[in-house]
Amino acid sequence: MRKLALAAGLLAITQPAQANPTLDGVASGLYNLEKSHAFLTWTVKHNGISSYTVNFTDFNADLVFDAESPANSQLSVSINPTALNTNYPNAEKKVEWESELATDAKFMNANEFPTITFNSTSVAATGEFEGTVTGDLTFLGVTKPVTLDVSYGGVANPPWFGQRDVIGFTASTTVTRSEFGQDSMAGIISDEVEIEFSGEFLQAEE
Amino acid sequence: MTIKNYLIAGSAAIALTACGSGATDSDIEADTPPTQADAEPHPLLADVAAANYSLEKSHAFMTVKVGHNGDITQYRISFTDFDGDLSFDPANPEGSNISFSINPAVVETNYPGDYAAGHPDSQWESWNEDISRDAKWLNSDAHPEITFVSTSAERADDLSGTVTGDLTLLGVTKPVSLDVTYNGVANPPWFEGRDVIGFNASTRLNRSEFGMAAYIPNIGDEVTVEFSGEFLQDE
Repeated sequence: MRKLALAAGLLAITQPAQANPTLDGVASGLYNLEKSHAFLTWTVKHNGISSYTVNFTDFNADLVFDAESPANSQLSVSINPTALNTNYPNAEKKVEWESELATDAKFMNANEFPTITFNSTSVAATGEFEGTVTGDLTFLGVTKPVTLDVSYGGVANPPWFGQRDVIGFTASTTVTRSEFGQDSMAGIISDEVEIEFSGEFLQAEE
Repeated sequence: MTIKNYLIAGSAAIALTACGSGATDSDIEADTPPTQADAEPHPLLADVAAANYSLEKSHAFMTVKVGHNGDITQYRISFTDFDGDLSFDPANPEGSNISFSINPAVVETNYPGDYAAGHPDSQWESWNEDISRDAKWLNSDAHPEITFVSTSAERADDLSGTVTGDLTLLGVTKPVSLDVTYNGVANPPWFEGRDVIGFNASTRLNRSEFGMAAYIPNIGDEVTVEFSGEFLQDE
């Protein structure tokens, strides 16, 4: 009986959230990233035993969204590789570590490559609210095609944005950092890098 | 462990974690798994010290995700000052005990730009401070600690299971179950033989049950808490 109760409790907490997105009435056109509700992280495995997650804290994105035919949409993203938050627990070392990550030639090498960009080349719908966005990722001066798995989360109309629509997305992909020339600390830091985005886009003013 | 084993363990852990984590309901309904007496330990557990471990804070992340604007996106808040103590027995993981202590006065939202300038009516200097100190959020002046103390653990398979314990948040204590995956052991040479073991854990809870009901449903009631981190064997 106790076990059944435990199982019931677990089922209750592992149910995914009920999302109810709609594309009905959503404006087509240019949207800009709503930066105060946007998160972009990269995660590598450390020593094979834990996931090390770092936030990009300065990035922008423009989305030309076609609500009737989402596959006609276009996305461009620009990321400042010097703006990183590792949540390192010692304030002084945090500054040093983030500076090293940003500028060291074996990591982001941002003095030489001050921008990471992604420009979509094609979009495909895989479901009513899911799809893939393929584009060119330029990182460390190397440009390679990368495909994002994207989910549309729905539309909101907070009153402070007037009639402008706010639409939400989550996106993720895995890149292989050695393909962009970064092979430092192999065996300690995984070659695979998981990228995750969750954020909102605000319809541009006319 | 030898360095060679350490690399093998690491590779295996990557393969395992790539398969996802967390107990499914079929795991939960399965018969009680074999005990140590009738099974060889899993290779990733075979050479791990039964000992007390402390959180290796420079490789530990705890993030809260909550739906925003009616769940169109997931807002992320990271705790950046927390500690954990683990007594771990690889031969009997169900007998392990873990406790976490989280400082709610230190959170990171990665808010862009100048919060104070954009919010002249706010009594707080930053959005991080607002989340930490405001009575409708973590109310850290009144409740300066969040704790989780395990009460039981159950194995779902060799490397994953559930840890149930008492979560105290905003002065309210409720049982919460974590889905936990053990990822393996490492022996970086600078720790001189002490084992480092890694885990992922996650849970979902309804913040209203702890008395935090502000802005539901524009900000979701359900929050997901995710942890990935390493524990270092005590000297």
